[in-house]
Amino acid sequence: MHPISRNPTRLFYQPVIGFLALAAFALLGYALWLCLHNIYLMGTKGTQFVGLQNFVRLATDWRGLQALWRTALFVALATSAEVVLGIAIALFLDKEFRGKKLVRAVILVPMIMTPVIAGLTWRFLFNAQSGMINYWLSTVGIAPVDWLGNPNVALYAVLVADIWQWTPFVVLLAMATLETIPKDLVEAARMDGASEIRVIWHVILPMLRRTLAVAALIRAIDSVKAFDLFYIMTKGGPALSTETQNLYGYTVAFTNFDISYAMTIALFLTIVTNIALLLLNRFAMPKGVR
Amino acid sequence: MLRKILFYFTLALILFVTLFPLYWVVTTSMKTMRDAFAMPPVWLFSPTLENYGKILTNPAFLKGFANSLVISVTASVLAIVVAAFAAYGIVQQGPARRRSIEGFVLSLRIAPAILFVIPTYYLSMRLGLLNSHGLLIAVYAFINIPFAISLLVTFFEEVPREMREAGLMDGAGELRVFWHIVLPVVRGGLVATLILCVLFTWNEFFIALVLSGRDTQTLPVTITSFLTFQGIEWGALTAAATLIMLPMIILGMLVQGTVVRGMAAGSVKG
Amino acid sequence: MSQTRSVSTGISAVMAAALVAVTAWTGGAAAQDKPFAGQRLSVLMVGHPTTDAVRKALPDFTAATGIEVDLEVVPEADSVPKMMLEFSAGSGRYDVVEASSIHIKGFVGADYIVPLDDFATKYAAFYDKADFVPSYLTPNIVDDKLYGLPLFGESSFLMYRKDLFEQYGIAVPKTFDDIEAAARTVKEKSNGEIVGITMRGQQGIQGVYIWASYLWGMGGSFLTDDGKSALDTPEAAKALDTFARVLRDYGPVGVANMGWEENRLLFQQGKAAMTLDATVNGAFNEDPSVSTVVGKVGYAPVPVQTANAKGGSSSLAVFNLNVAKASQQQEAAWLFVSWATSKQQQIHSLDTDPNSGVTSLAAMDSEAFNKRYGTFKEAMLASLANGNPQYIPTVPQANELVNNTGIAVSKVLAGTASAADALKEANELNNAALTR
Repeated sequence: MHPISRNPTRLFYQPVIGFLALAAFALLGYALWLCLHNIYLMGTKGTQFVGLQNFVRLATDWRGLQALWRTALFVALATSAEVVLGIAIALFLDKEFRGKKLVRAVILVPMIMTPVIAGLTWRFLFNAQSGMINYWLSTVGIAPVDWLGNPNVALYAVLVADIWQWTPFVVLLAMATLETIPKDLVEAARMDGASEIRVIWHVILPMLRRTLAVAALIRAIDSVKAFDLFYIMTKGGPALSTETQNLYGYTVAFTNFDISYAMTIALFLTIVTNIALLLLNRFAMPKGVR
Repeated sequence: MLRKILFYFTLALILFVTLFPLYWVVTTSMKTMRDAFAMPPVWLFSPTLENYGKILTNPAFLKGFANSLVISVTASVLAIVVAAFAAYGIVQQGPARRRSIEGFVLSLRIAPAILFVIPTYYLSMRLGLLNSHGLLIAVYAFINIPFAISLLVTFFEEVPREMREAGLMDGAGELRVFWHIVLPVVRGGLVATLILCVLFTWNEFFIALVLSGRDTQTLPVTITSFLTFQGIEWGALTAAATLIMLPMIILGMLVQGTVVRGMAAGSVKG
Repeated sequence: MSQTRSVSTGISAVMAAALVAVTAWTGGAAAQDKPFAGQRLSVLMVGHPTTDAVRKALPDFTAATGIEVDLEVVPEADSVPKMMLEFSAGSGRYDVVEASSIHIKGFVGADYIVPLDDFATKYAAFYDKADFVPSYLTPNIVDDKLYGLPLFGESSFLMYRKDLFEQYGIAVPKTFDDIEAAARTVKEKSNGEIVGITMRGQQGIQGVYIWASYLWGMGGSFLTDDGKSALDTPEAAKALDTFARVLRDYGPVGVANMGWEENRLLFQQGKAAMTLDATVNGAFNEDPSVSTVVGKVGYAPVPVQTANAKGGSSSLAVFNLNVAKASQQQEAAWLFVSWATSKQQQIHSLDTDPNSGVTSLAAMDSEAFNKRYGTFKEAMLASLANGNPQYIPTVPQANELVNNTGIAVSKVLAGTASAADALKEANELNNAALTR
């Protein structure tokens, strides 16, 4: 009875997706154009077409490759920690106790804090001399740790701040989904004498799968792009130990003013992430829901 | 009993770790400079509201507040409206098509900000759009749409297919079903997604830094003016930070309640 | 006009008369003295007390000239990218920008800012060349043309704890070896309670700014005379070795991520015996509301190790107001620049938002200045006179060179590379950047 299309529901998304695709490709095309030139804001030689020169430069850029590896490490650690902790906390809070409502609201505070402020706060908490964390360690007799000044530690200090800020996002999604799980199903399993761990593993987690997959993907993508915390806490130092690919791109663009090379770095990062995502989507995402 | 003690102990630990940075920000905003950095820390101090007075009479802060409010709310509402239609449509497709669309939507989120901020900058400069609220609203809406679609799809698919099919059987058009049958069910999800979008836009720093001008500067950029070349004005900064967080904390409390209530009220499965 | 109550009528009549008089006066003045009344300037400045003072006094400027000013304030680190994007696109979005003098040559080379000499002769109402501290004004002059006026500046000096030095019998260091010896003595005699010396070690401009003192003081330099990178020299390696060693052996925990703020706090909390940093730190050391070392600090010139240094070892940094080439209102922009840097405004700023970086000689002579900053004024003036405005290279690629050098400094400080290796790498990167 619908004259336009056999499936009118497509009209709900096609214009939106079409527009997004168009805009994305236009921007991507422009970005690619920038990559193929040598736009250098401090230059006096003018802009020329340089072909793939920027890509060749990136392929042999040791600093860039290290930054890529660091990004991968950070994303893997941050995402897995946030998802595991997030589920654990959501399950932990999924019972009746006094002040439950308040606790569940308050637990979301970190992701509400403006990242710039969160970065400054953590930078101060991790301060080796007058930071709170070393102060607490000193009260139990532990020597001050050089959190942000030691190249072997700094990345993990930023990681802690990132986990602190973004675990609540996973908690939020997990809590919302937990509410939709039919209580009688869980009760039935418990009645059958299944241990709590078995109930969680075999009954609850499978129902959380899709939510968790979405939460994990969003967190993974966002931590590829993590910027504010790094920028405020370490600016990529010490000794480049916290320079991610995204931060490197920023430095090249806004410290060195080498716009074209920065775009190349950003484009490369986008392509790599896209490939990783495609692979994930194919092999790790839960198969069709229901 | 032991279980209970263990439970409350763990709970206290979680809350402590979660809230300590917030506590630090809020107390620093009420301390004098000297107390703020004293080591060992000063736990008892006579609070001063001087920093708040400074912030609330600072025209740049008030303007930033207004800008942030207008930009984040408009951009988010716009995104949600668009995304709700898209998500509804996507959920009705077969698994293969769905997977490819959702993959595309997610991939839109991947591009790091520099990749589109610089082209956007040059383009909008040519169009004379810099320093307009519209530019920031459009950019943030564009960023929020994929995020909102991804989230809303998870909410929309909780709606039982039978509800939609029953509506269609009764002769309602697809739009009517969407508007009168499905949307009310996912109301909680919509509000939650909206609030998350507002939150992310409210806090976003990098894009605002590059694309905002003196008339459109948003709060995260405004507060960085307290990071001066000669030191961080911690008192003013933390007071401003507290004021920035306040509306979002209230919203955050709402988001928690609404998601849960919204989804329960939908009586989806129970 | 209502005429019901005699008293209020009287008052309003007086007020009205006064108003008429004021309007007549300002209106009359507008005809001759306000050729740019009604223009609206867009100004980009960095967060700083001076900026706050300018913001507060803007109504005075508008009253005097009829020019309106829209001020946009961002942190220093973000201001440069912002103005570069605008400049490179020729957008004319900013009429006036505030930038460090290290960028001036780059801006002039890329044709982003305009010379101000003609404006200075034509509209000299606020401008008094002789009032500027000479070492602050000089970096603004390129090829004999004036490209900006200094808004605030600083040099660097050595700060040491007089009380501790006396207690441990240490003489004021004259060389970097003296610094190391003094730091060792402090650490040993205080049983590690007091840090020997604290300096900024954060990767990037923070670390490089301080290390530059070592580089120049050891006889090294960033660039050779023909404009190539000069970091692969023994002098540079020795400078970096010495700098990293003293900080690793006698410096504070966490030094590799310490910026200006952390470093200042540590010293003013009395936890370190020495620091080498900006002259503005003196103001914080002597401010009883934030410092526990008031009156205990001695100020001395930055050490030098060699008799034939290629440039002064104390770094002179100055922030200036420049007028954009793309501005459509360059005359009005000049008026703003000369007003914001005028001696009246600078003296006034000492009342509203005091800071020791004023660039006006008259402001430095004022009572307010001497009362606040008298304790370190002499040392500051001395280090200003000897300050090296080329402490980091002023070539267009300055930022990139600093970035590469900063990585080398950070690597050695963190112990992940030797000075010679790290500098060799930075040298290659810098040479690549210089040919770009």
